[in-house]
Amino acid sequence: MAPRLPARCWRQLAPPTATPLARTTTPSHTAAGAAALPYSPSPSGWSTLQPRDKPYRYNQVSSGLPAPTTGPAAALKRKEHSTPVRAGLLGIKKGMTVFMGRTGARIACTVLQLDRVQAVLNKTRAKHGYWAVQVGMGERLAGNVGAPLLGYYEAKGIAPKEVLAEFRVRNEKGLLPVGVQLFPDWFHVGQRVDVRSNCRGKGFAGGMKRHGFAGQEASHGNSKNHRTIGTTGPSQGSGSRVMPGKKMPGRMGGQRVTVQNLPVLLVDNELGIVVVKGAVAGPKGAVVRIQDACKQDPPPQAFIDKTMAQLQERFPDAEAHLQAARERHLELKAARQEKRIAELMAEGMKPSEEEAEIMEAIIAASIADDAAAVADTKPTF
Amino acid sequence: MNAAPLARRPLACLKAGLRQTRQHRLFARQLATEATTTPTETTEAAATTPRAPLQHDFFKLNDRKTKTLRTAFAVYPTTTAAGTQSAAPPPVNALLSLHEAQIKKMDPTGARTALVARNREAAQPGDVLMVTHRRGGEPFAGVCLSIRRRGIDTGVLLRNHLTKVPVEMWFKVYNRNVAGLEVIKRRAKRARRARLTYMRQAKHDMGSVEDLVFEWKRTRKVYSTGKPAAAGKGKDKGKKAVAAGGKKK
Amino acid sequence: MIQLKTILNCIDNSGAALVECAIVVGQKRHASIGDRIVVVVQEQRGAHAEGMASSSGPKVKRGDIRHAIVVRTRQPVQRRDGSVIRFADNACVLINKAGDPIGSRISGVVGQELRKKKWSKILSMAPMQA
Repeated sequence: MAPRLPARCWRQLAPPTATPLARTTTPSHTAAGAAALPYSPSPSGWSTLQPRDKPYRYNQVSSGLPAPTTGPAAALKRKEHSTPVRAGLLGIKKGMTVFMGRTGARIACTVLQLDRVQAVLNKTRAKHGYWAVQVGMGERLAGNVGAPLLGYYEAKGIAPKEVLAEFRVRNEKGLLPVGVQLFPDWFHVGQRVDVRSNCRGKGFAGGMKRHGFAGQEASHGNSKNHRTIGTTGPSQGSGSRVMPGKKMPGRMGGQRVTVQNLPVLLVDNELGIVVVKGAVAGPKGAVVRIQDACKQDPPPQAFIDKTMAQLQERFPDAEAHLQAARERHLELKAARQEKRIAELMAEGMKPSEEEAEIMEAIIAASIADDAAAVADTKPTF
Repeated sequence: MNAAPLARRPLACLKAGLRQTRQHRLFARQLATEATTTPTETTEAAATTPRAPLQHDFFKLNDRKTKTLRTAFAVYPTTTAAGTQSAAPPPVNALLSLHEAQIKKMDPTGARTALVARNREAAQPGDVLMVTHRRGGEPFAGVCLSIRRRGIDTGVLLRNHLTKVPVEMWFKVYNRNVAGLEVIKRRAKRARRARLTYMRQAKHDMGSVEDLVFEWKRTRKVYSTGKPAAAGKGKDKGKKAVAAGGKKK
Repeated sequence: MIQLKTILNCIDNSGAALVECAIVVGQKRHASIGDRIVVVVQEQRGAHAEGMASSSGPKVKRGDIRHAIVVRTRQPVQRRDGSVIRFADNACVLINKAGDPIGSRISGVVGQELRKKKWSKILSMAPMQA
């Protein structure tokens, strides 16, 4: 809070032309007087100083001070190297099998399958405070999705997804066009990935199982204390308390486990699978997050460029689709607010003339296609 | 699909329906999402128009009390991916397909698969088998105690006595290091167990199969018209052995 | 899984028949094929019983503490290609501190893991390897 100044001081400060002297000589607390002042009176008093546009910004580099070591920007900078360059994928653990190498090696591996993995949202530094890509997988019936999320997907032009997850990326180069589908060839064979999933829940477990405690003796006078954790801390003089974080029995498992630096053995777009070497936490059917390993160098820039070019090639009209979906969403949203959604539903989507033409072409093509298919199948049977 | 708009917007629904059928057909043809080759019709449509037209249904939310329409949201088909209709669910049996592909790669002739198949011609527990290593070394022969069928990870358990010491070995049938797998002697009568673990007991132990191997090598030398019987070079020999065993039966 | 108190067969002609594991050398885990252990000779081979002992009499006596190499285990050992080997007994070969076998002959099959662990002298003495 700036110090309060007596009236004579701010009379000097005030621009002579903007405020007539007659009014400013006696600062009044009436509404009319407040409105005429060059500042807005705060509930706790008033100040002659111009309001700061961003009062929380202090100790800036621009004022000759060293860059702050804390704060959002510093945190992002610090984490830059451990943040992958690209977004990751969501998959489902299908099970384990082996990979027979050419030289006779047998490698245990885990098969992860992707199910319609799509980029759903880009998070930006300016708007959200960090760079990230939200990715969705699978499908969910509209009836199992709440209204807010239905509106969310409506605006994206995407069908409701079963799972949504966010992958942090290093900078804006890692962002993806919304709606594009990601395939297993997002990764290349031989690269290292981090795989995250929830491990199996073990239920309430004792200290021996949960933390690897040694347990106690079977005999030598031990009575009914064979698997107990023993003492939980010193007694009088040391506070007679249990230290925070003491390892004790409790719920074990069911938490997220990251397996780092797993080599990718195989990627197959047809089967939609990524095969990684070794084990991945969780049962079959577990949802896993696969991302470039954060403790390795990112994939070569040429490969990253290739995957981005592939996206562009596969989904050339992604942006147009998103724009159209947004426009449609705004239209529907307005209709919902004005309670005329029923009309819009009855009206449906009017095809433009151009679209009608395409439709005709599609109908003709599909009829021809069907005829061809029939002709194809006939001789064989 | 929502049938209600059919009467109001016949063409739109037809178009969506057609898209779906086409998608289905494509899916049935290749049983997979081939990302690189998007359907030709779609690409043509994309080429002729600035953007692919939006296709969506409405999902209605009714008021709980009055049961009348409260609001509705556009729901896009699950096959929509950024303006194309290429997003089809992946095959459900990916693990099986992967096994098939791997087996095809590791066993192009199908001889190994035939040897561990579930039929009379294949090797069975109780038969005496011989495994030849790729990197030389002495072939390991022994009576088959069990066959573990796990696709590409299929293995056989052989038991033999080497220098009077009982030895058991598992071999992975589809591994490159297993150069040959041959049936040396069929069991006279089909074993009534899938796992002959009782053969580890002294009472049922078969002992060394060395004499059986010797006998088999001798007869094979006779059949192979004087050619030197290089120990198990290929799978076709294994197949021959299978066939011969079948005849013996 | 050779550990403290495991009784192993000694399959060379050093004169020991049964030995007991006292320490697994150089590792905290149990010993497998090719690992070095310290053993106590529990039973001597009869001089005339099997003709295994060399003519100069047994080189080791009951109660001797010697180093040995495990050559066979009952515990299945998996190899890189996925094959697994399992012997019916635990067996070892006595060596001196320098790593040379005490006996001059080995009477039974030994595991191939010895090659990987660089015990080629024992391998070359063995009549068979599996």
